[in-house]
Amino acid sequence: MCGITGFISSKYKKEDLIKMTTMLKHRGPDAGGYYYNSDLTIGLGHRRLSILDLNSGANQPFQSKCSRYRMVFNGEIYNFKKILNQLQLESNFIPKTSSDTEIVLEAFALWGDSFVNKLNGMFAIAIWDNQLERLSLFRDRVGIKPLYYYQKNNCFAFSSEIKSLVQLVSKNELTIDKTTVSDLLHYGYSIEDNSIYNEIKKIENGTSIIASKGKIIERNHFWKIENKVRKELVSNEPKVIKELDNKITDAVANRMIADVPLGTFLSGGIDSSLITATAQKLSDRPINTFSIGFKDQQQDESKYAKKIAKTLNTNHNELILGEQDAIEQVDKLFDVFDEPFGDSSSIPTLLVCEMAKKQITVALSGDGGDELFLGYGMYKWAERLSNPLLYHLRKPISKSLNVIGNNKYKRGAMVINTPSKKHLKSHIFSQEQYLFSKQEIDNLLVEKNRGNLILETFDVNRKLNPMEAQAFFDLKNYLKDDLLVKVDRSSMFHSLEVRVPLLDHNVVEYALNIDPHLKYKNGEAKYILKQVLYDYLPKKLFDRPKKGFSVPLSKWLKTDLKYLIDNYLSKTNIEQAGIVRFEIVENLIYRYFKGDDFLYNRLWILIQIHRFLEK
Amino acid sequence: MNELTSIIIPCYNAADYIQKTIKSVLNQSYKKLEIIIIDDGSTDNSLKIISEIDDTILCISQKNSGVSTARNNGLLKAKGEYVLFLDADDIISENFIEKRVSFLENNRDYDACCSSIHTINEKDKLINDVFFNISKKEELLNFEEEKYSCPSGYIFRTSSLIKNKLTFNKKLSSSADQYFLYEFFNNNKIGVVQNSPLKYRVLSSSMSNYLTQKLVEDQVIFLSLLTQNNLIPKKYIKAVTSRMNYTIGASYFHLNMNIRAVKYLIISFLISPKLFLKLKFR
Repeated sequence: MCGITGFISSKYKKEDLIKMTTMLKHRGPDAGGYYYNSDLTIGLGHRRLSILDLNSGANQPFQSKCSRYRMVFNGEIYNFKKILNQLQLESNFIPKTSSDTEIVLEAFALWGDSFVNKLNGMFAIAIWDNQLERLSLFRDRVGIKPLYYYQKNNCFAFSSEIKSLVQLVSKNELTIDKTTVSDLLHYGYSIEDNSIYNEIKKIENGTSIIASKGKIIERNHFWKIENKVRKELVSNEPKVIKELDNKITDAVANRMIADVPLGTFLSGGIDSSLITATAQKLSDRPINTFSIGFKDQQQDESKYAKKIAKTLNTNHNELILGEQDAIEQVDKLFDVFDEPFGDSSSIPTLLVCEMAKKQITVALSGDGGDELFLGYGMYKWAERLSNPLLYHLRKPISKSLNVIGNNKYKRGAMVINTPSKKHLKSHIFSQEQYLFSKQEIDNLLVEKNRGNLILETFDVNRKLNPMEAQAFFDLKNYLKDDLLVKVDRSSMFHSLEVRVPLLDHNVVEYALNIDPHLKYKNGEAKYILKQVLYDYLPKKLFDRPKKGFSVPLSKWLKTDLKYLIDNYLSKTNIEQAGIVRFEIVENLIYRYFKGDDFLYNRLWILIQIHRFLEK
Repeated sequence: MNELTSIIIPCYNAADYIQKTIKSVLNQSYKKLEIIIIDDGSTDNSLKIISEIDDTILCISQKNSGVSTARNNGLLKAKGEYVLFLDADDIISENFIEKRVSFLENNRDYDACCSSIHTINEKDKLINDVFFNISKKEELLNFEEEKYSCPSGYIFRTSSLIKNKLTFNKKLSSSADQYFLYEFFNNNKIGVVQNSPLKYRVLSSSMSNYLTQKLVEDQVIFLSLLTQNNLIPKKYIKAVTSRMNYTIGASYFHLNMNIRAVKYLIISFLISPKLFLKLKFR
């Protein structure tokens, strides 16, 4: 796991390359490397976090055997040994290192762009071709590893994080994308290929691009999740349990290959418990497990994690936090994320990564389980609102719920009050996250801006039921642009590599086609995944409602973090920024302090945006 | 799959977008292509842009005669087993041709193939959720809202067009596409493939965005041709003609041409009072 940077530009020099790459030192503290050719105006930079083959021979930028190609690569290819066998058969290739890096480059040299279809892993790859004078970039199927680019005035630059590109081109060259600001208010994260800056974009997942002479000349999608939805479902429960267990076991086994200490995150929930149990099954020694708990008992799940760790006989590490520990992370967020980011579960994620890094360099995490197996409560909302009667009566029902008065019903009123069927999925998501609805944003912004559009209808081989469709929407958006961003930035901030077995593309492609009635059965979410889990751990350890990985932000914003509201949402600050109307914000703050606690996340995203603009 | 596909691009003052259109063709995973551009008397630098992209692209100039004539002239030049009529501001996804041609190669009883549509604006940004090309006659006759007739979305089997003497009607402008499909559905079948979208550009300046008298008169001719040539099945005649007369009448009202508006609204009512009232109070 590492950080990569580079550019094709006659404007920037080697010292610029070094500076932009150094911004990613946290991603790769073990080594740094550069390739710069002033005649060809190409620069490639790399910061290494050594995981496989700790020798310097595997450092990057890496040069191909034929000397034609140079590569910088962030990620891990789990099937690199299988690819090596193929290379040896087809080209008598003999590796110099035991790292996957060399294999990736030689695979490209032999098979060209189609090599990417052979890779199983997480990756952001940049390969420079000296002969054709062009740069090929590849981002993995699900979007686990980040890759941003900047393109303007015959300069093309790329990086693992926005901060490097800002360092290269300077803030004066960048303009704020107001459409993204509107998106942030609704989703809490920047959507699609957008970032907070007009000039910086994300390379989409499952996509390759070719750049030459300072601009993109070709773009291809080598993997699209829509193409993986099949007409036929797998519905035989015993068969699914067995096949799913096998695929998850393979995925975990592949991700346990490392030359450095490894462990798992164990929250006590279904996904992390399954990953941990599988890893323990495969290991002849106790696995290192890590969980955090809170002194505030309502939020604390650590006792469940402890029981699970004891049952599996892992080497369990627990950190119990007070409010102050978490609050101290808040200031770090702005350095970690480079743009406003509304997901406050990044706070405990940062903490667990910091703790884990003291003992391990690689952690396995259970991300993806809720999206693949219908784990979130909002999927039930999607089902409810697909009822034509409820949908048509939504406005009077919403009014009634508002009148009833308590927080829970008021929030329910906001979920039900969806503007239209066309934007139902994004509305449900935004309300589940306690963020602004589109109607609220229309009223809030000084200059009207409807934000970018996300597709909510899917052109796939079979009709998805409402719960599946909402989950598919999350797989395409929330997972990639929120959860995986949170995991990557939080872990890399502490030079920790996190691997996500449930997002192995073989697991994803299989899970997409499991009968949804096996995923949500008899009122039970993630039913089929739990059946796999119960082969490893007793059911009674999980007999409790699902809890997210969160912090009591609604409480803290009234107490220890109130200063953020006072500083960033003051009349002066809001009017100076000129994005939102102060009278609306003032009313939100008033209602929040009067008892409408569910408004906390609206205030939180406003704070994030205004803090960013101030910086 | 080794059959040639002809891409016919009628071009009229398309300098702003044609580069992206052609590049999307050149970027196709399916490589056996010929590109035929019919320049319909452009007065901007469209031709210069085209020659800068690839000077081997066949570019034929004609006096300004309209998009239907341009498409028909392109069809005369086409050598491909399959043909795509691609508008000069639309973009096709990289597997667009491959998926459609593969379908037609494996389903010889189908005469055309289509998929989904993403509508984009001047800046290539999505402006609407996914639509789909019309693939059944009922979708055309029922005026289904999320179904479009834009020809850029279809790949046609050239022999099916020739056998049935199908061309774009020169008397029509914005409704030429729909009329073409009415004729096509008489003896032909359209298949559907998943997820190889057309990016259909909707410009604020495009023909169908501004209601003009010419546009409404085009609708009048369209309706007249449909009925004269018996292209509407008996079962649908009342519904289709009542609806179209209603739309024409409402359009004339928007243009403050009230006498004509009343005429068409009365016709609509007389054909089907029930539908008229449903449309009025929608």
